[in-house]
This record gives sequence, C-alpha cells and structure tokens, in this order.
Amino acid sequence: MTWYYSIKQMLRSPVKSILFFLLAGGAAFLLALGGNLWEINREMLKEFEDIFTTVGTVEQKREQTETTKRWDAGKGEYSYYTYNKYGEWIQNEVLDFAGAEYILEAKQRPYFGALIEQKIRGTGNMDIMVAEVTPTVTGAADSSLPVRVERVLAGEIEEGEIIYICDHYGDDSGNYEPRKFQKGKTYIMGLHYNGIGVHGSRVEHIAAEERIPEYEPSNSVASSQYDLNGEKVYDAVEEAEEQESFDVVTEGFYETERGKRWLEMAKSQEYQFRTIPVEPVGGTKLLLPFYQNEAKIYKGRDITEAEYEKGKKVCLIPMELAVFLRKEVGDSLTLPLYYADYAPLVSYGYGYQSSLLNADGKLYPVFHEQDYKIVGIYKVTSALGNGDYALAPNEVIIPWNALPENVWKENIVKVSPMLGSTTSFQIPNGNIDRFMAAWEKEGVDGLEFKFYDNGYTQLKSGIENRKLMAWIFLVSGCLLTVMILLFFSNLFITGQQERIAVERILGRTKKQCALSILSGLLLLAAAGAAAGSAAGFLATEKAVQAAERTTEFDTTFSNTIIAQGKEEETNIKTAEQYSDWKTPALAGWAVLLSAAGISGVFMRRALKKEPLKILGKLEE
Amino acid sequence: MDVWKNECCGCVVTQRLRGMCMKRIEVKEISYSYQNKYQKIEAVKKISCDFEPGKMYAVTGESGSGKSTFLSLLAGLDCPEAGVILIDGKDLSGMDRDAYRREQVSVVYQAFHLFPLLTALENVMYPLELERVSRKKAREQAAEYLEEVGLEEKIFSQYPKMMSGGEQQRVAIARAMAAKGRLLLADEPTGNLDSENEEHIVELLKDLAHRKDYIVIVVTHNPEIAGQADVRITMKDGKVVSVNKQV
Repeated sequence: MTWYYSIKQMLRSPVKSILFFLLAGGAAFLLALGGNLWEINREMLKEFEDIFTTVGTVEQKREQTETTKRWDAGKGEYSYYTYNKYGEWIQNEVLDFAGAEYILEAKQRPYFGALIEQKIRGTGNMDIMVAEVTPTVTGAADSSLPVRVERVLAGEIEEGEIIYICDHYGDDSGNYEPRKFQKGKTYIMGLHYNGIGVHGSRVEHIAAEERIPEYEPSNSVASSQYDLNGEKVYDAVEEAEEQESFDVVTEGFYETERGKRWLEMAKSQEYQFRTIPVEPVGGTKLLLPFYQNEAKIYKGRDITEAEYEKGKKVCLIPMELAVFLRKEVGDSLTLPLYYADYAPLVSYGYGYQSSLLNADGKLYPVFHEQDYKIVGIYKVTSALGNGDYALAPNEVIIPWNALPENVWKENIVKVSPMLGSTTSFQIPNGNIDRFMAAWEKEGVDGLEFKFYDNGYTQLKSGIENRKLMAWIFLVSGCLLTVMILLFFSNLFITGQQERIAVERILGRTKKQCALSILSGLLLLAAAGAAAGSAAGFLATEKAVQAAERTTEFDTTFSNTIIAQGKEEETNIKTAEQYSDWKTPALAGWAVLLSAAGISGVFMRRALKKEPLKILGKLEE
Repeated sequence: MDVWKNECCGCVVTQRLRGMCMKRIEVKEISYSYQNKYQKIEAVKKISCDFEPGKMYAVTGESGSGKSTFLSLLAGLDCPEAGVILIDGKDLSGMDRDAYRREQVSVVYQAFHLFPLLTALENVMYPLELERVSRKKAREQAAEYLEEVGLEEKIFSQYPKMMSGGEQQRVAIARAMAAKGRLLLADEPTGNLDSENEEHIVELLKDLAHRKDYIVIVVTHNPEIAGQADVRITMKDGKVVSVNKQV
C-alpha cells in the first residue's frame, strides 16, 4: 500500500519525476565515467610501475682538449691527433647523495677475468706473442727489419720463420729515434701483429699480394697494477724501463729480474687465451643490452631480485660460451677470478692491453673462486649488441653481492673514470626530474647522466592528463549528485510537509511516513543511477578508445622494448582491457546511497516537526 | 495485524485497542509548553474538562490562546508536561499513540489538507487501506462515505484542485469518517467556505455527533458555529476561562 500510493503520487507529477530521473542518471553517468576512467588510469599506472624500470647511466665528461703527435715510421713523418681528455677523475662516492632514492645504487663496476681450462678467445689478445728473435741484418727498425724467430715463449708463430719488425709508431716526445738492432744478437720482445702493411727498401721487391705480415716490437714487462683509490702501485721495473731499449738474451738472462718477468709475460699470454670476462651487477636491467632487449634470456630464467640482493652463487652465461663449455641451465660453472679491470671491456674490442703482472712482477693470483649455478643462458640479438654498452664476447653475469666487497683490491689491472657502460643505477619510475634536482643541489660538475625508461615518462604524462580529466568528471559528478539530491530532497520532502503531516495525523508511524515519501524517490534514484552508470560504462569505452589512439605510439614502442628476458613480445594492456563494470556499478550505488542518506536527513528533519503545527502554519 | 470490531459501537480496532470504544475523555490539569527561537511559550496551563460521545464541542478563543496546542494534545501528537488525559479512564501517555490516532482520532482542517495527487475516492480510501482493508472493499466503503457527505459520483475521480472548497471539505470529512476514529477534531473547518457550504459542513459535524455518537471538538473563531455546539469552551492565555453547555 505504501509503495502503491507513493509511486502513484510520483507518477502523477511526471515532469518532476522525469527531471529527477534524468538528473540522477546524469550524475551517475559522470560518476561512472570519471570513476571508471580514474580506476583504469590508476590500474595502468600501477601495472606500468611493475613493467617499466628507469635506469640511469653516469659518464664523466671529457672537458679538456689536447693535441698530440706520433711518429709514423711508415710515412716517415709525425701524425697529429686532437682528443678530448678527462679532467680530474670524479670518484664514485659522489653518487651517494641525499634525494637520489636509488632502487639499485650507482656503482662503478669492474669486470673480472676468470680462468677456464679450455683455450678460448675471451679477453685474450691472440695477436701478441713473446719470442726471441735474431735480426738477419743490422739496422734501425724505422722500416721493416727482417728477423729470424729463434724461440717462441708464447703465441702462434713458428720458430725459424723470418718476420719483419718495425717501430711503426713512436711516442710524442718529438725526438724519437727508431731503435737499432744488431745482426747476430738475440733479443727478446713482445710482438704485436701490425697487419699487412710492410714498407721500406728491404721489402720493395716483395709483391704486395704475398702479404708479408709486419710486427711491432715492444720491450715492456712493467706492471699496470692500481689500488682501489685509483693510484698506481709502485713498480721499480717500470720506473727503470725508460732506460731499457731492448733486452738482449745472454747467458743467465732469465735469472735476472727482467728475465723472470719475460717468462711471466709469456705465461700471461697463455692466461689471456683462457680468460673469460665476468661482470658483477646489482640487477640484469642495469646492463643496457638487456634493458633494451638487445640481449634476451633464451633458456632458463633471469637472476631474481632476491638472488641479486642475497648474493646467491648464480650466473647467466651467453649461448656461445654454453655451447663451447657444453653447459646447460642448472649446471655449475667454476669461476677462479684473478684480476679486476675498471675500464670498459668492449672498448678494447677483443683485445686485452693491460699487463697481467702485478707490481711484484708476478702473474696475478686468483683472488676468489667459487661455483656458480647457471640459471639462464642468454643470447645477444643481431647487430644491436654492439656499441660501447654492448656485452663482451663470452661475458658471464653474476650478482654483485656474490663475492665480498672489494675482495679484488689487490688485483686491479686498470682504472677508468666513470663511464656509461660501467656505471649505472635504477631509480623509481617518474623520478628523473627529482633525481636531477637533488643532484643539482650537490653542485658537482663534470658528470653526465643519461636515463632510459622505455617511454614511461611519456606514457605517464598521457595517463596523468587522463587522470585529470577523470578527476574533473568525478568531482563534477559528486557536486551534481549532492546538488541534485539537495534540491530534490527539498522538493520531494520539505515541499511535502503537508502530506507528511496529514499522513501522520491519519495514524501513520514516522517509519511508515518515511517509507511512503522515500520509496518513490529512491526508486527513481535507483533507476536513474542504474541507467546513468550503464551509460557511463559505455561512454568510458568510447573515451578510452579515443585516448588510446593518441597514445598508440607510446605503447607500441614500449611493447617492443619491454619484453626483457622473454622470447615473445610482451603486450602492455590497452586502457580498454582495464575497463570493467565494477566502478560504474559502485558509482550507481554511490548515487543511490547518497540519495538515501541525504533524503533520510531531510526526512528526519521533516518528521521532527509537529504535524498539527505544520498544518496550522500552512493555514496561516 | 488482526483487526477487531467493537461490539458497543462497531469500531474496527487493533488488538491493542480491542474493546476500547471511546466513552469519555477526561482532561485533568494538563500543561504544555514549547521552546521557540527566542523563548519558552507556556501554551496550555492546567486545563481540565471532559468530553463525551454524542456531543459537539466548540473551543473558542483568540489567536495564541492555546486552542491548536490543546487540540494536538487531544490528538495524541504530544504528551502534556503535567496532568493527564484519560481515554475511558486510561492515561493517553501510556498508550500506543500512533495506534490511538489511527484508530480513535480523526482531524478536519480549515485548508482541507487532502492529498493533492490522489483523487477524492483515493483520499478516502487511504485511511481504510492503512487499516489493511482490501483495495476492493476500501473502494466500496470510500464511495459510501462520499455519498454520505453528499458528494455525487462524478466528483469521486476528481483531484482536489478540480473541486470547490465545500466539496474538498466534504471529502476531508468523509476521509475522517473512513478513519473510524470516534473523536473528530476539527480545526476551523469552515474557515475557507462560503456561508452556504459552512452551514452544510456544520450540519454534517453535528450529525456525526448526534446521530453517530462521535465526540466532535471544533476549534473556531466563528461565534455562529460556536453557538451551534452543545458545549462551548472558551480559552485565554492557555487557560480555559469558561465552559458553557448550550441548549
């Protein structure tokens, strides 16, 4: 009966009722649209936070320009070179500053040399040999000088073979004189293959097509050892070396300090052919080839964050090394690490150019050795794996924390300023500006930061704009809901005081009166809310379709880039895929509950008034 | 809810009021005050009087004399702060006042206060349906009441706005009759009517008292209506200053 009369009276004032229905629907529409868009964008940002990572690299700027000259024996003249030089090296510690908010802190990484049993073209330069030679003529090595190989201590060269040597490049002292060699004496030297490019009167009769190789002789057995502060470790042999033109092998030579070093040098060549590079990192994504999808895990899995953090003894190895060593995922790989090099591995190409002798003239001893479980095998794709940031051939990746900090401090063969390929970090997504602002406060010049976020910043900016739009809809919807409900509650409840009073006097309880007045109102509000939220849901799909068209490029780019460690391409969900009916339904319920709440307050106030007084006042 | 018909008067009442056929209302020294925005108003001060079925009472007095407040206390819309109203010897404040109002009291107003969006017939059906009379029966009974107050059938389907003042007041009285309360309170029932309609309405009220044994209490300024009542109660400043029985 209550519903019957309530709805009957509602239907007999159709204009008011339809207007209320439409406005309640409109409010629900705005709430559903705004709420759904807000939720979609919030979900997208949340998912992006999981998918995207922001990685930065640090490189010291070359601030000084310097010109140098080198004697070119081939041309018989000086060549001049201009290059950019580093100023004072900036220490890694400056990167530990307030406001950096690292996820993975910035560290300058060395790479380690690890010995394996098999001979492999790892870090070793196979073009360097150590041999005793005897010149066939006396003369200066200012052009190709023929020598006979008497004894090979290291390298791929035949004893008895005639080769040509030339002090092809001089230094920049400006008074360089090519060294003189005497026929009949035996010299020990390092021989660096200088390619096919012989020159000079002695070889003019030899046809170019016979391609006679030329070697550049070297006489250094000095150490290049550094300490952790980047200071050179004193080496008496190096200091005296400027006086040593060449070592002549005589009786008892190998018992001398330099003789012993030559034997160690020869041994170091053998080490180089059996050395593979091992890079300790805080996360695979810090290596740009992985971050940029130029390297992918194709078997097994990536090293997990927990494994990185706990320093588990696990590793990733390249496919070629796995084939060479006949290793599979799950196998163990022993890595005897014997030197650390802070210079970027790849910039040397395949060759190793530092001495493997420490300041005592001995080969570096193994500083750390343990077994690593192979959890993943990676593959470097196409030509993208090249460049300064590329992974080195046969490079093994291990967690930074897998070995004690600075355990390599006695085995540093080379140092370098911070470079993008060796110094990287991870910060929270969207934090680039804050990071840079905090860095600016440090007032340190000379470092260049580069950030990589796979387009997160652009995507986030687009999404933030959509969130603002959603926020406007949401706020408008809320305001409209409240205003409509206040207006219509006033119209339907306060404006119906007479009806309430009469119903009360006819004997209706307050509860029955409330039900009588509110049932029609709430029914209309429910219908309006349902229709509005359904329309809002449909409109959301249209809105996101339109918005998607404007951000298509961003997601396409990101889709291609993000598939870290996966063969298949990862697809970032489109906004439409996040849309669901829950938020619009919630918006509908919100309108209905607001209607119940606001009209309930009005009703309570109306019922507090004494009916006869109301009617008395109306009569006045 | 079960409904019952009282044997004495034929009133349909709820179980709580079963057997209760209003025979006498005794008002004993009741007082009532309320707070408006600025001050406390003592609207009714120690009023005492009795009401019996079969009589029409007129309560007269100037504006602000407490007539309407007295009426609302009799209707059970408020409880007196002091004193008691006894309905057949039972204290009204201890009764279910919603049920009392629904089953024992009917009120008629100067401005009719019909439901504007319900037809004349629906207005009269409304209290019947509140008593859970079936819709079909309510329709039949409502039509009978409307006929009883002298309205033609063509009026039944009209909305209040389409009717004259006299017709609207008749509908209001028919609705009061349908409510089955044996206490009919009328607050200036002819205030908006012309003299011809006024006469008809007063006759109708007297008829309810004398023929149907209602207690009819009319609050009025009109001395002519007051003159037609069986008992005239005059109020001033919240007090009853005279009670005159009229022949």
